[in-house]
Amino acid sequence: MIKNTGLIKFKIKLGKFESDIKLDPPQKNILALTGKSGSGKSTVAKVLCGIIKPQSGEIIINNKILFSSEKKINLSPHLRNIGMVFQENRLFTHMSVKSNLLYSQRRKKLSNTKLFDKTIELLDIRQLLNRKVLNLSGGEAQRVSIGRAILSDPKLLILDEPLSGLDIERQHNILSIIKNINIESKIPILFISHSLDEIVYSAESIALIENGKILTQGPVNDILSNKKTIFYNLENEEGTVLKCKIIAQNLEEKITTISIKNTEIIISKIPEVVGSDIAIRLLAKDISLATEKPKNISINNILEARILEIYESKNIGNVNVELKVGKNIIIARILQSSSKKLKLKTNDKVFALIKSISIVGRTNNN
Amino acid sequence: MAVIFSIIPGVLIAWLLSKRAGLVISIINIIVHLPLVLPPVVVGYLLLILFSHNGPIGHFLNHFFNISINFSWKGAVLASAVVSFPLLVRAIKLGFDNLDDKITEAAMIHGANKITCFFTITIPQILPALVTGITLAFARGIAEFGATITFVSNIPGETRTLPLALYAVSSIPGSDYMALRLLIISILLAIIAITISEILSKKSLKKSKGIE
Repeated sequence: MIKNTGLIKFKIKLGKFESDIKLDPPQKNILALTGKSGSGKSTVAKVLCGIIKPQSGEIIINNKILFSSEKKINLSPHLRNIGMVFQENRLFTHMSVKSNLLYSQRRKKLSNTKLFDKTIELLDIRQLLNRKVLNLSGGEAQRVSIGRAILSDPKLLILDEPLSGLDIERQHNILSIIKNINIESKIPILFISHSLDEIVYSAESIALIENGKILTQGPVNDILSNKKTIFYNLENEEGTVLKCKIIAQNLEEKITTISIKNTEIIISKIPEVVGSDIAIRLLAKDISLATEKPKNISINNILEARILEIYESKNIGNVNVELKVGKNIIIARILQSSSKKLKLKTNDKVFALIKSISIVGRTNNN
Repeated sequence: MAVIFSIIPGVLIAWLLSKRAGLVISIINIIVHLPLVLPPVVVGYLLLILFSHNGPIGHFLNHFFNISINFSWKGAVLASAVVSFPLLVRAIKLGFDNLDDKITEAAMIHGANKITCFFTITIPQILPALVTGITLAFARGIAEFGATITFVSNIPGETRTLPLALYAVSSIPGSDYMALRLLIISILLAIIAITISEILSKKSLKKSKGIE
């Protein structure tokens, strides 16, 4: 375990909205902060960078106390060393792209040409340097905005819904840039997003916020298969999202084999290379159960599983069956009458028949 | 001259009026706008009461700094400044009203303290409003008549402004030529002022919007 050098803990009251946040800041990875709109995601960002002051609490990032109500510390935004990318690009319209990028370095009297070159290379914005901000497209402006934040040499980079308003292709482009930034520059990132696809693609861990409180925080797969949170972001469709790795490509039969913590699943071929991370979505309604392994069946993915829990589904007449497959948890939704007929109970061994798998974060799901 | 002295307090008060609220701000707002509504003669008379040697401010200035304002060019400048001040403030306030706080927030997060932020972001962003305000104030200041003649009278070589001179000349029979000359100077000055302000405000608008 890496020693925890950060702490985010504060209480704030804004009109009728109250927020009581306790969060472990990301150490070097990407932490996604997600929740419905109005849950207080952006408030966390504003408090962290010092735009609004919480009533009480303590905020420590990278061993530096940014706020402490006890010690009466409240650093002003320019001393906090936090980079921020907003929903709107918020670029300085009276300056060129280059001046925007260098704004922070000039203020902090830094001159890091190496970082500058690396950043514009990473963001692919060299050709934009002398352009005016207003002539940039949405995607270009957002890349410049990310560049401005990175060049401030931050100890924490906060991205507040940076992809909203961009088309899907540009979203993917920016997402992969964000991932690269994290890998290359090791800047810890707090990625605020309401989109599950974005999170699963980029983040290692998730914090879930609701009504101004953090419900839970942990690795992506653990949170996404958590019963309490399964309705989140699946457009009210019960199911689970799992991160997995591509382990084989069969070009002849046009199938791809993926592995989720050692459980292998076959899907129709996708272009990603062996070794890449992808995420799949298993909807509860697409999983059937059998007590014996069926033979002569067209379904490819039949997984041995153990029943953890059976509970009522929000769909009338249905039950959700929480299953342990290898080290993963998935959920199947079956009719209550089927459950009775099969005499299913906790700890039974069953076979999960997966009828359909969608790849998360891609335009063409299969 | 009057306008140059007004710019800094003008920007400050415009900022206060735009970004702060409260009873004190409302009172400042009313005081600043009074000269716009009051007849200039009233403003001139008020200045006369305040700044004459027996007046509270005039006495103070005279006693401690040995400055005498009434019946001197300084008084003419002051009268011009007071009368044109509301126009300056109103225009700049509009600029502040339209300024997106999110941009200044972004600047502060990325390393600018309040003062640098003001000079590198706020001022460039409100530049068009600033130019408009200065032009309007300049035009009003040059045209100033009522307050000046009441406050500092019409003393040749000291407090005689262009409109005052024209007024003096026009009331003397047989000096039509002189009056015409002043008239043409007035018009030329106005045309030059308008042209410069148009060019400047277009340029600054383009710059702050990032078009050019």
